[in-house]
Amino acid sequence: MRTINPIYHHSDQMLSQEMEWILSAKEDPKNFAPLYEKYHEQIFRYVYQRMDDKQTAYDVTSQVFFKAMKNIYKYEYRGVPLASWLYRIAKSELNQAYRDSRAKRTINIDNTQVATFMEVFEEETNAMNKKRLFNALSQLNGLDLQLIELRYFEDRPYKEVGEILNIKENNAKVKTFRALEKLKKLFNKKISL
Amino acid sequence: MKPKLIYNRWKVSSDEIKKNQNFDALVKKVKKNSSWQWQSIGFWGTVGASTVALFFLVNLL
Repeated sequence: MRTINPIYHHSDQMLSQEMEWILSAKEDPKNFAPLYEKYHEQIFRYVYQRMDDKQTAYDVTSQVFFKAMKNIYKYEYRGVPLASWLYRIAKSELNQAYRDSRAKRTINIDNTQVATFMEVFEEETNAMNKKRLFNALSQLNGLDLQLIELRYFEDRPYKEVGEILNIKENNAKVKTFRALEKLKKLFNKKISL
Repeated sequence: MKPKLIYNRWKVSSDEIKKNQNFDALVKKVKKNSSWQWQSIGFWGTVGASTVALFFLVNLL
């Protein structure tokens, strides 16, 4: 069963607590501390999932929070949690790091995720199929890869995928389905192994 | 460019991530680099005092 990220999805009480922290952080950057404490780990994991070097991931995460704290006065609550705003900053900082060659676009995959894809593709988990999957993943375009990562690697609900990519939930669903279809097509394409 | 693929990378522990937090340094950087100074009492206090002093100086001369 798909799990719901408890840090991302808030109860009304948690949301109002977060709003209090945001208002307070707008007064003084020191008051951003509880938000930093709450989100630092998940933003780091999001960044490190997409790059190869750990130290660079720490640096990019730090830059994400620097930008967030600097621009918190502009933040307005529009029905999406602060986390989605932080993820959008992280996405843009990651792209900047790739452009500056400070980081290499990386796909991190483990055996559980490989097994999930094999189940979806109705294939056997073996060395040959693993190689075919890696080859297919590396051929996806940027957006399709992001959709696959958010949904299948990180197990996020479509609502959250949509908020991170700034698209509607339904659109996220359709686009993810299409990305999966493309991946399947690439997986089934004859490759020279 | 093709992305790099890493298989079964060792998971970073929560403790290690926590050890790499440096909130105080971030606060310093933000205060140094942003418009927070525009909102601070110290800034407006200094601006106000300088304006009053300048006003008296100009009128006395």
